Amino acid sequence: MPLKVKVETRAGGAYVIFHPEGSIDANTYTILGVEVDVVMKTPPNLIIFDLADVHYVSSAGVGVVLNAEKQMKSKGGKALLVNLKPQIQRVFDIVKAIPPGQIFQSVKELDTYLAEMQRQVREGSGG
Amino acid sequence: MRHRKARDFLLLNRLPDLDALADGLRDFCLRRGMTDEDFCDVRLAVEEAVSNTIRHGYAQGGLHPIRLRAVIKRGKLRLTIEDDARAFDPLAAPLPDTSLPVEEKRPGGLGILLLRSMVDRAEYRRRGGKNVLRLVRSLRPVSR
Repeated sequence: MPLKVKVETRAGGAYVIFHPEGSIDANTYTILGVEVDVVMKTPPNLIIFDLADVHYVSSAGVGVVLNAEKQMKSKGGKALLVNLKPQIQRVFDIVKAIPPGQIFQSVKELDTYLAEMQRQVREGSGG
Repeated sequence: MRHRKARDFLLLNRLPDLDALADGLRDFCLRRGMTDEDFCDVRLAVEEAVSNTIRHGYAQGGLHPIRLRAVIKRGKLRLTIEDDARAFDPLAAPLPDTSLPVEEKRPGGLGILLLRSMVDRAEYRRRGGKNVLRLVRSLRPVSR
């Protein structure tokens, strides 16, 4: 099954959101991997995988997310996941590739987290 | 209309062949009462087993057949996957340590972990120069 990936930049480049659509499996994971590699050339503060339109992920797909989190963490950033369908959530629960605090059930939860992060940045910079 | 309770699939050791296998197996399972969400678990177990074989099982290269038989019996889906790849028991392979910090985690082994997690029972044997992997999964799973 083909995989489509839309990439969205927000907050002046501070966040990059990947919107994969379809199945992230042994045949399609490189499509997402290539998009992640492009973004990692100039890494943002956060990358977000919005999995609302992903109905299946195998270990190949998990590997892309895990590698993204490792790269982000090495640069002081994070990879977040949002909108996981139950079967996708179960996969990530089993492999524990991403800390639970970086997985959000809804955009609303994620927005609350992002707002708090922005508040901390403003207070930290004295603004 | 009565559906046959068994179906045989044949693919070659090529990753793109997994798509047709997944489509056919999905059709077989859903027609016999499995939900799409539950089928994702079945598809995952099969993909992890077969893709591992395709990637690592044939040092000499070449095209090789992989056979999968799906049987519904007493409310359970029974899958038998047979290949002539090098001997490998996915049930004996060490599982990754998922408690490691992310910088120490490796993608390797996650497929085996998922394979074992997605089925109720699994058995492996080496028979006649072939790997034979049997997977069993309830059509309507018990609560997890």
